[in-house]
Amino acid sequence: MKNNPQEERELIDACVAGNKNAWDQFVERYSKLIYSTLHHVLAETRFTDKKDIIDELFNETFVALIKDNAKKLQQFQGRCSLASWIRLITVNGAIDYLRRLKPVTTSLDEESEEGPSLADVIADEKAQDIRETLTGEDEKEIFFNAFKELDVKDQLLLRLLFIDEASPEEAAEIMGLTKEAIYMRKSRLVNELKKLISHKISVRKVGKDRQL
Amino acid sequence: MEENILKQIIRKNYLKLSLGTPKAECPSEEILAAYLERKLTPDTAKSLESHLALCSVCSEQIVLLNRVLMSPQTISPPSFLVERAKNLVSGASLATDILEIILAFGRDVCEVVRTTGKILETAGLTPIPVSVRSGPGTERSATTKISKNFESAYVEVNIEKLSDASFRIKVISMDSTSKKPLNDVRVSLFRDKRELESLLSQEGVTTFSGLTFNRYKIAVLKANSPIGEILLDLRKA
Repeated sequence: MKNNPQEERELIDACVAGNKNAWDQFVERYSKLIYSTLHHVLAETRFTDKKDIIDELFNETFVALIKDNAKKLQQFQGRCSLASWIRLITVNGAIDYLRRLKPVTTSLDEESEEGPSLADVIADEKAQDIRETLTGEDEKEIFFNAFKELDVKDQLLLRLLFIDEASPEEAAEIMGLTKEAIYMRKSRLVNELKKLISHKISVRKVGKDRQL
Repeated sequence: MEENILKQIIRKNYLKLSLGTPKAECPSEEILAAYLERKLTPDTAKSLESHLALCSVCSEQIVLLNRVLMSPQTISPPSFLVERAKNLVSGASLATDILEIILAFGRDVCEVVRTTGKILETAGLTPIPVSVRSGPGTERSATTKISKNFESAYVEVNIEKLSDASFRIKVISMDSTSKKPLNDVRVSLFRDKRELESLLSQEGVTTFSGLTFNRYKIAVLKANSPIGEILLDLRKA
């Protein structure tokens, strides 16, 4: 949907001012976009009554835009296209609504504290020895310090791929890189992270040995 | 080491960092959408990437938005839903306490492009649309007067063109029924969300000078309670 920013601004101003014709035009123009967005978001969930939820959210999205004297609409400053902004408002409204109903995916909070140790990053023959000397606090601190040393784009890529479980294609779209660049960056990032963690574990171990 | 083990290590330790930033520090939806549209400056984009790397709320939004954008499928809503959305706004008014005024100025002409207020009769001028013509080469001032009955007061706005690109506006606040001037009404002039000037009315009148072709918001308050807002758009014809 290609629209003129000046025309979009005028449409919003007219809606804010209470122009009924402008509001009708706004609803006509963005209904399909909002409805399609809700379908995509709900497709990611396991709800069985998706259609009813989509219908309700469709109305709630428009209500959110005009309530309190169209406070939300007034916030739009034109830094992105109106269509993208409305999509994100729709996505956020859906996320909030679904959270109110119940959590739909496994949250990080529910994941077990068990699992491999940071020491497993180190070569197998040394891992067992080191694992026994590392406390949970040690692991947290070492990981955080290693994470901080990564380039900002690598930090984001790590989050997208390993925490948000985005595919390399999605990460490429989000970060504005090619898929090939993402694969290369991921490979380098993994090696870099292992190296940083190994180094920090070694330093920590030497420090502890000296204390003994 | 298998990637799956590394992934478990990352997830476990990432959780321990107690990530998640206060909502107040999160960027606006516009900034997030502008990032995907590559409309941010390199510095702003970098700062946002740094935030996204640590904020679960924003990263979830951007991943979902991107998934929506990557899918070409569009679905039309049933017509009853569209009609219901349209009916959220009645023909009367969406916001009874907002007065919108859009004026377009040519050299000797002032046109009321749109207003939600009432265009008043003014001495020597013809209302709807207001056109002022004078002899060739001479510049005359043109005043447009528009009023609105807000819920708690009657407000009249006089927009006067002083020169090619300079305007003066008067905001006159009166009691809704007696039409007596209201004192101590605070009137604040904003442009781009920044307050330019804030004045107390004298005998119900507040005057702002030095306005140019631009969009302004004027907030009118009495004893800290809002009377209404005026959205004023002064543009070239």
